[in-house]
Amino acid sequence: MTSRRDFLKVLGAFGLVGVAGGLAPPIIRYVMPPIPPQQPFPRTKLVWEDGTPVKASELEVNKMYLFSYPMVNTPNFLLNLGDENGNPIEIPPAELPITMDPTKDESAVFKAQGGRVEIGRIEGRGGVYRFPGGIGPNKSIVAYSGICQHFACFYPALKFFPPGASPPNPPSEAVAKGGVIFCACHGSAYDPYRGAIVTEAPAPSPLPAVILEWDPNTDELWAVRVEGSTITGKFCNTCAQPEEMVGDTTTVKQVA
Amino acid sequence: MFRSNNLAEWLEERLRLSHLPFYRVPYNYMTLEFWIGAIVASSFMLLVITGLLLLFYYKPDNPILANYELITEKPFGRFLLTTHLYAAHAMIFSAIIHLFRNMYRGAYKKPRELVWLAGIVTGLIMIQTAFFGYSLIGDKIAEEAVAIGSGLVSNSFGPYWGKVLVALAFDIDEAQRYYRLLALHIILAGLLGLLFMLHFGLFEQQGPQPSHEETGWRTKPERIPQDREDLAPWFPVNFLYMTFLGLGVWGFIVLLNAISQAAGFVHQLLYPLPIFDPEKLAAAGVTDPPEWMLEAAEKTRPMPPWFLVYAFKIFQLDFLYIDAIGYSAILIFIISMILPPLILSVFPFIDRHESTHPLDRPIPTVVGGLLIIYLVQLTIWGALSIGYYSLTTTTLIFLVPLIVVVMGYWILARYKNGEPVGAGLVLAFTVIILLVFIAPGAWIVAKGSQGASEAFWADLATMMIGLALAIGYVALLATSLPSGESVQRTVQVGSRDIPLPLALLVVIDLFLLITSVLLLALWVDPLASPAGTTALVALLFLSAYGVVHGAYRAVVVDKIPYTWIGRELPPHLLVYIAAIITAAILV
Ligand code: FES
Repeated sequence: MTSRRDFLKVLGAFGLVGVAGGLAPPIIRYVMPPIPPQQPFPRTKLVWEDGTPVKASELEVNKMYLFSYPMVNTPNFLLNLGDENGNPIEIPPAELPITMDPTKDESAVFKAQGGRVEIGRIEGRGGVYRFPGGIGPNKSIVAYSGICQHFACFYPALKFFPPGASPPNPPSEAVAKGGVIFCACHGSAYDPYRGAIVTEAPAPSPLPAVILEWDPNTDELWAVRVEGSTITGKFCNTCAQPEEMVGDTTTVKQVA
Repeated sequence: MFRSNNLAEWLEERLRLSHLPFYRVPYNYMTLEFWIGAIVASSFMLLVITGLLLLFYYKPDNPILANYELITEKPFGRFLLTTHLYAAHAMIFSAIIHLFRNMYRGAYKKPRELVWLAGIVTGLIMIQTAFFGYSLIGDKIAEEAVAIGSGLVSNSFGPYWGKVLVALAFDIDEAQRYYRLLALHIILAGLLGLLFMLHFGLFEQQGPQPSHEETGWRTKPERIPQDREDLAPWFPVNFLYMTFLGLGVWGFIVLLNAISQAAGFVHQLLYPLPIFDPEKLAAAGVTDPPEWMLEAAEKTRPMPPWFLVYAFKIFQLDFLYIDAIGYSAILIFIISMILPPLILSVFPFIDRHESTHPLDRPIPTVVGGLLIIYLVQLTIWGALSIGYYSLTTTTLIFLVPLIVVVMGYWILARYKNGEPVGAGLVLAFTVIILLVFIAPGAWIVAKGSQGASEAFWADLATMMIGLALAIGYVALLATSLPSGESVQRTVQVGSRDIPLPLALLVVIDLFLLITSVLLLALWVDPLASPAGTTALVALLFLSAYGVVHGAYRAVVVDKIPYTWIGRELPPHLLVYIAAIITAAILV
């Protein structure tokens, strides 16, 4: 009696689990979109909407410009940084941590200023990368990913506030002073004057930097690669189908 | 030709409605407290109907344009979209009340453990469905929802698997995204329907938990005996009750929607229309959007619908991110999404007390009550401030209700069991509450109100609301103290005559019903006056509710005698208030 019952139970269990287990992988394979392959970084010229090249000297100080790079759906900020009075400021190169916790990593802030404090600790967190600093006639032009490193909010939730302009609901006095890239989703703040390191949690890493090239003869600008951590939500910084990559040119749009 | 009696018999023989295998309940169970689940279910029905109708014009390749055209060009399009939203609000809100009620009454106890578990799973799927639903709109809130949802998942489950999960939920190719969101929304809604049926089916096997007045807070009898004298026949009594309740719920939802449309932009959490980003509108092909649409976009900051604001706040608490594993958000994910349902689902298995009295079940009463208080607190905190993450402040904000509820429970439970409470304990309780009131004031006096930032006021408000809710909860527990003996109600047999006041009320309801039918069919212009149209539909539902309520009342008039008008009027007042509001919006 018991043995017959056990026999039935085992058969039933195997049948059910077998069917469910057998069907799961095919269903997942069916609904899983293809993971995009890794592409090389394109060398992309920055142009205005009418197709004329962007000249470094045309970029107004402390205004917010957006452009896509390296994929069509990865927006970036293009900023000509300046002080409160609108004079451009030279942005020095720095070594930055790939991941950071702003509440503990004050060392990262020192390092961004050119210091060499507690390098071992930062490297232990996923390494460092070289942020080349500003370019252009005043070494004041920088470009950062426009996708928040916390949970991927983007413009207009993520915005640049020039010095003196406070975001609404600033979480701290430092943020209220402006000169930040601030995310209105959960209140993260980045310092664009120091390689977009995190100055206000909960973002886990600096905004990836778009490396720009400037031709002093023609005053034109190119985007050439992305450095730093991976753009939030992407498999890698160039993981996309070929048609989703920007081509030889990308449009720069002024938004504020 | 049938005579009416013959028709009833003819139908009865074919439908056998009086033989439906539903659990039968006594007449005195026909009160709202036993029917909260029906409110959830009727909101769900309204969601299914409006959702299926919305499907006609949805365009996954251009959701912004589709929804824009729907609310500006389709007759009744705005009514359907906003009602779908408000029905979702109503369903989630009433589901939370439903959960709280059954937790408070101990309805999860043996033999209803599986009903409880099925209910929790149904609730989880409900929230998931709602998430994909509002993502489908394609407006600002929707885009941020997709961004934040994918950010949460990809930062919680590691660099590879996180992204695979994101790809499964939101696709990688953005041109394909809304096809996937639509499919997931519909699949989840279907699953929700199936789970609802399972939950309801399991419930029907046991019937409702016998009321504590009848059991004297004991767990026995576990079910309502089916040989009681005062059981109501499911048809027509429960049937009519269910029908008028459902119509009333629909009318109430649509009425709130009409009021909200007429009021315009009050707060983004209440705003019934999509909030499109002007640039995205232009990109979608809308050249001259109306002024109010752009204004709404300007006043909106990133924030999910109210039922996820609690999680939105948890996301901001930076000390919850785990530094050692790449500042991972996994703890955030667990605390906001997994822990609350997990805690709730163990209640039936840890609570083995023979009593259903809230003061005999420390863990469910204290932990469950705190869960609800924290939910409200986090929601208010999230709506008031952003990105404030001091561990001390957070601890203080959540410690206050914890202390009040635990101490309050302790004092009341000792009192109930006849143990000495001790003046010291009561004194300590009072002093703590007073301190919480005085301390912030002292702080402000010491530092001057200059020192208090916006964030400080938000934190203070959150703490005070926590305190108020905790005191309210302890007061609620205190109302259960006179735990008297069981009362068995007897069936009263009154006259079967239809009382004159009832007849009068129903005549007014009928008049309003006919008026709203005629106006909707012949006169009203849904594009020129969307809010007025919505109000008229509300009046249609509510006057129908009044009529069916009248029928129900007439059917049970001999079992639940008609008393004075003051007790019978309130259900109909809702209809008349709706009529006044409709007239006000239309004129
Ligand atoms: S997405 Fe930017 S702070 Fe959360």
